Amino acid sequence: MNEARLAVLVERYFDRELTVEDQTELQALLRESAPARAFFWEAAEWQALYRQWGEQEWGRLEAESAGRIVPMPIAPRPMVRPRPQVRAAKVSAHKVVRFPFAKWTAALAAVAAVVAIAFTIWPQLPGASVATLAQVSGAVWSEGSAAPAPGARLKPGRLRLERGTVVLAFGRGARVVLEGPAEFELRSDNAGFLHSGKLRARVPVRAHGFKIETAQFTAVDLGTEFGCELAPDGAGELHVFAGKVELNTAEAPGAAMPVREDQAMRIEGGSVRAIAARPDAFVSEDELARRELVKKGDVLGAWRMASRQLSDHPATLLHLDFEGISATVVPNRASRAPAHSDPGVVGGKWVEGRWPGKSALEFQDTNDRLRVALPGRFESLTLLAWVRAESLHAKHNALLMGHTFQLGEVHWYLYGDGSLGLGVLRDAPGQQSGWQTFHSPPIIGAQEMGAWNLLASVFDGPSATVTHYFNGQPVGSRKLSLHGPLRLDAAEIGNWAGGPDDPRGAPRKPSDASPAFHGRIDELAILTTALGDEQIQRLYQQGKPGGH
Amino acid sequence: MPEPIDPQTALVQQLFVQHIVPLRGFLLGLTADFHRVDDLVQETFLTVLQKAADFQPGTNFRGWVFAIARFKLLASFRDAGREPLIFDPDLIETLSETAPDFSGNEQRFRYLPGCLEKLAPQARRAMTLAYQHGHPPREIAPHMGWTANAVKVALSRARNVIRACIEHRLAAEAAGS
Repeated sequence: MNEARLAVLVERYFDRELTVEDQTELQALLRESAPARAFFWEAAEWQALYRQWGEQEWGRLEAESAGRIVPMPIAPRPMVRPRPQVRAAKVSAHKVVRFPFAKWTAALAAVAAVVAIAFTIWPQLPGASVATLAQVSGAVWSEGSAAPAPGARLKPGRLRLERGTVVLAFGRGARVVLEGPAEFELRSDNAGFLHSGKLRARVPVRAHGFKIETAQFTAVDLGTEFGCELAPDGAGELHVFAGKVELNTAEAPGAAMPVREDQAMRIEGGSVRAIAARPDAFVSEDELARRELVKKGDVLGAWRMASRQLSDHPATLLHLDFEGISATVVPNRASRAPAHSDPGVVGGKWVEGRWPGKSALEFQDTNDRLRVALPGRFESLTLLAWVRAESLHAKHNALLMGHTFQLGEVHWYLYGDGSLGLGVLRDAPGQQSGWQTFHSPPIIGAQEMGAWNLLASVFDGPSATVTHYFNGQPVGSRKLSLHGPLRLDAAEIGNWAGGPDDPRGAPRKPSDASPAFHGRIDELAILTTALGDEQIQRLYQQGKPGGH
Repeated sequence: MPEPIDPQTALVQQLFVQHIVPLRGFLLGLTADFHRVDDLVQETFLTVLQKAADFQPGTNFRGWVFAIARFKLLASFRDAGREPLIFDPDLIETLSETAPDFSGNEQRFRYLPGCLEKLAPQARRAMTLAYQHGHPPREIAPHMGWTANAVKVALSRARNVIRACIEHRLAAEAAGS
């Protein structure tokens, strides 16, 4: 065995820098020689050690930056004589302290597991409250139901909500938004029974195992956010928005089925079928808080809440809120942002956006632009931008324009006549027929100049249909003749790097002006899904200037 | 009303918690892929809970969990949506037979923070980008304004320094000094 060569290969393996030849060579060495395998595992031990350090640091920094206090894994004081498992649980708690866990989430899960065991063995006292009524919004309780006041401590029992929305904070940490009309039974500090209506639950790690029962199914949380609905006809639905939930049907209890993020199930008489998840159909606590801010007239605060929901949408690829002025980058706020996807600022001026206190970027000079790289191929796309156009001086006034001339490349712009346009490169560049485009009727006229408007264009892949929206309303729709996915790759916002002279672009007359956009943008988002009319309308309502 | 968790599930849950660190080491060895390790640990945890009743207390828990994890790993080999594994299935089986229990890291970890201090700031930065942020050298290079090769060399040296430092301190501890 050539030990030096093996050391090099093993190092490359863990650095993820193996070539195909290296890979073959390393595998042969490991297959042939037991000492080589021993050497390999020793290296793996050290690699695991460094990673353990890295994850621990990462988790600590993340927790610090979020202002979270990380709970210490200490079991509660026993009220009964500990059984053997309890002692073991304490041993493991001790171990957590001395030997930190790789990933914070794993560490917290571990803590939760230990605490869960502890709680099982030390049950709560009878008659104790199990939850608090954390928030009430327009709630009307049914006749004969308990009618608790905000902040009231709730004991096990039924709540009948005629209309409005309430938030229940369970003792163990789960929070449930209950939308009326609904009938809900508090069962413990970590469980409830939904007799009818709709709820959305958000479950922190310490409340792992939070359980919602219905007549049709039982959902056991594994660290997540989910929604349950029990329709009047008795059918039940379970929607998972984050993490994982274990579903048990009433017909076949014990045959647990994991339901993952962005999945939903409809349960009816023991049959389970997958349906599309509808995160918007279940009011979240954030949404409730946003509505309260709107009631109070805090439009900027309300927009910030809505904006955070858009950042957290599972399909959001790019979300720029133009908050936090920087001369170099506009941060991509999408919670699932790809690496290195913060657009770089080239020129532009920071100015006021839709409301006082909201910032925007002004594109004035023909060189002002944002540069962004968004690799990937997308079956469907939704493009959204809050825009204040100052003039439409060019034929194409760039909103978001790719410039790699790959098939499927997207151009999004305001056309010189005031219409909104989407173009997709379909054939070889340079050919007249290369671009498939669709323009809305003119929407930006003299009246709309200098005013904030929400522009949106949706490409729905399965139907190959483009729909343009102006301030939440659809203003035109057409099927494009396309084959293959869309791509953005290297693109510019507010300008076009392809330039009017580039022979690969759409043919232009020499008189065509620069495609630079003149005006302000104060929010822009790209989602890798086709949002529907209702969702676009909702985004407009949540972001429209001048109040709600 | 207390949550019903049967004692067997509780025991298995708690044993799993104690074995997460070695499990991560085992999977890191077989995949060299931090993200995949995260996914596999989660999947393994779910399966372990489902099969809690199969575990016989007193038998080798680590062996049982590693076997389930290996099974999950080999199953993911066929997942079309994922990057292919570097090692072939037969080699994964062979390597699994002699996987260590990673218990040695428990001692080493105590000295790691002190030994990291010995690194030059740039070397420490490279370690941070590699092991906290999970970037391979070619992705670290543009962050540091170095070539990928320079990053590889820096990481390699940093690891040698840390390893020598930890081993030295452990030896000193064993000698009672």
